[in-house]
This record gives sequence, C-alpha cells and structure tokens, in this order.
Amino acid sequence: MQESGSSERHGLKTMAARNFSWICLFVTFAAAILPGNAAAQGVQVVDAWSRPTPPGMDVGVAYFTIRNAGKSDRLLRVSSPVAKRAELHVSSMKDGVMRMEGLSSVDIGGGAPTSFEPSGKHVMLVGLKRALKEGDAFPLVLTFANAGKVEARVEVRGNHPASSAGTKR
Amino acid sequence: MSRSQKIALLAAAVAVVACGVYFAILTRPDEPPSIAGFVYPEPRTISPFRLTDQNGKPFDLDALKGKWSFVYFGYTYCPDVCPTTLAELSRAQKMLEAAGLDAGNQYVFVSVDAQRDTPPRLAQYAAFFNGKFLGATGSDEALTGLTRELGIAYSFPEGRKGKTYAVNHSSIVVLFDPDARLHAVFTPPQKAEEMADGFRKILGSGPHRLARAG
Repeated sequence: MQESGSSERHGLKTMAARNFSWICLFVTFAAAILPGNAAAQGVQVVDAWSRPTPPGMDVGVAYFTIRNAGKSDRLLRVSSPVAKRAELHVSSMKDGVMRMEGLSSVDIGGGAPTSFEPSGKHVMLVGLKRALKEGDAFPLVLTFANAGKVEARVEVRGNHPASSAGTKR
Repeated sequence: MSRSQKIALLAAAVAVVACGVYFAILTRPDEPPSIAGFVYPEPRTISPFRLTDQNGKPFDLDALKGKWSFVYFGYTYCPDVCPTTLAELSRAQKMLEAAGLDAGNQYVFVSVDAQRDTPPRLAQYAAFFNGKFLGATGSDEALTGLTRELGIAYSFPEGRKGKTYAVNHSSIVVLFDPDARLHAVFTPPQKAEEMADGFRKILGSGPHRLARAG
C-alpha cells in the first residue's frame, strides 16, 4: 500500500519535471525569437507612490519597486510631466548624518527586485508644476539602458500610509 | 522538632526571602527603559538658546517647559527623509492622543535652513503634516550651540546657492521632558509605533510618572 503510494508520487514528480523541462524549452525559444519584447516585459515598475506636497512646496518624491525578470539592466533617467526635473537620489546615513546624493544611474540586476523607498533610493521631483494631492496619480517615465522607456502610474498616498510602504528598520 | 516548629521555621524563611526580594526591587537603581533609540540615564540640562517660532516669537528653553517636547531638525526642501519622519511622528501623535497621552505634549519641527525656511513657510509646512505640529528656526549662530549639545550635525553644500540645494543633517527625534531637559532620542528610521511605545515606557518610569499620570 505504502510502496505503491510512494511510487505513484514518484511517477507524478517525473511527469512534473518533464512538463517543467518543456516549459523551460518553450520559454528559451520565445526569448530567443522575441528579444526586444522579452526585455521590455522583463522590467516592471510596480507599487509606485508619492507623498502629498505642502502648499507652496515645489519639490516632491516618488518611490517604486523595479522587478527585472530578464538580464541585468540599468536605470538611466526618469522624467514626469508634473515636474521640471526628476532626479535619481539616494539618502544614506554616514556618521549619524543623513545625506542625499544624486545618482547618475542605478544598476537593476535580474532576480531580486530593486526598491526605491523612504530613506533609501528615491526619485526627487524638482520644480513641481502643481501640488500633489492625496488620491491623485501622475505618470513617471523610467528610461532603461536595455528595456527602453517604461511608464509607471504614481499614486499620491496620504501622509499616513498604513503600511508606510517600504520603511523598515 | 515538632510539626508546628517546622511550619514556623518555614514561614520565617519565606518571610525573609520575600523581604529580601522586596528591598532588592525597592532599592534597584532606575534603569532607563529600552526604546528605539536611547534614554539618558540622567536627563541632561541644556544651555539657553534662542530660536524663532513660526509666528516670529522667541522659541527658547521656556518654550520647552511644562510639556514633553518631540523635536525634529530638518529642512522643508528635503524630499525624502524629513517628510518620512514627520509623517511617522504625526502617526505617533495620533496614537498617543488615542491613548490619552498627548495632552501635555508638543511637537516641533526645527529647520536648520533659515535661509529658505521663513516662519510663515514653516507654519504652513508643519501644519500640513499635523495640526498640532509647530515650526521654529534660527540663524546658524543661534542653532550651533543647541544642535551641538543635542548631538545633531548639519552641513550645507558649498555656496548654498539656488533653491534646491540639499542639506546633510542628523535625522533624530529628540525628546525633552517638562523641565526642558534632554530626556531621550529616537534614532532613524523612526516608526510611529516605536516612538509611541517608547514614550509610553518613559512615562511609566522615573520621576515623571506621577506628574504626567493625567
């Protein structure tokens, strides 16, 4: 009884492994045939959000997560119609002091997602053309070395996002 | 030894141990509570200083007296770290308010960048995060002594030109007690839950326990 059960499971495993091999083969072919498309689909910008801006303030921020299922890529620049300029920045702690530095580009490795989050890498919007209000959304265009342009929809969330998206100790 | 003698002896032993434990607890030095940052074992007196509040009035040691003050130093053109910290501090205020621990508190955003952050601008900025938040600032001269004593560093890029320069600054939330003494520091990245919890612990320990019980 037990033996037959285990051999059945073994059979299932072999079948699953075979199916998986076919899937891999298919994906490999598809990637080879459609290199451009595969790269574009490989880079995804998800969970893009921003904070509302105080009255009279013309700087803002954008946070997001970049998923890259393909080969390593590089984020070269960002732009948004709501601001004159969008800059790649990183906040980092050095000797107990928070510093903000410009980044000329950001490597986006394949595999683990790259997070742009509070107190870390972020996009600074300079010269906002209008105040960002809670509930608004605006486009952000990210230009990658390989994937080209990817547009994200940035949601303006309240000052009290329950999750504090991405803030961590 | 009779049975009653044994019982008496046992009772005496229990009493001695209980008394020992009681006195050990009573005479134990007050250890500062553990928070997401640190509590000074002895609150530190601060030298007089004179900043300007959001209404153009002096903001000095007297302004810190009689209340617990959460004070954060930054600048309004800061796009990332300052709004993040102020949003968390605002959430902490609401948590403390809900817990009935907020009535005797004030929350102050001190700009180290008086060149761009005028009092009216600070009033707008602070209130945007929380109606209870206040703003204050001062010249480098006025700020230097205070920030040094609090262990806060800040620096400007050379020239400090244009409108969008970034300021490097310590991103700590300092807590003054109602005697205007430096009592605790919340270190980054500050979370609302941890600041509210830390404040609760601080209130529950030390000499301010009774003063702030209401």
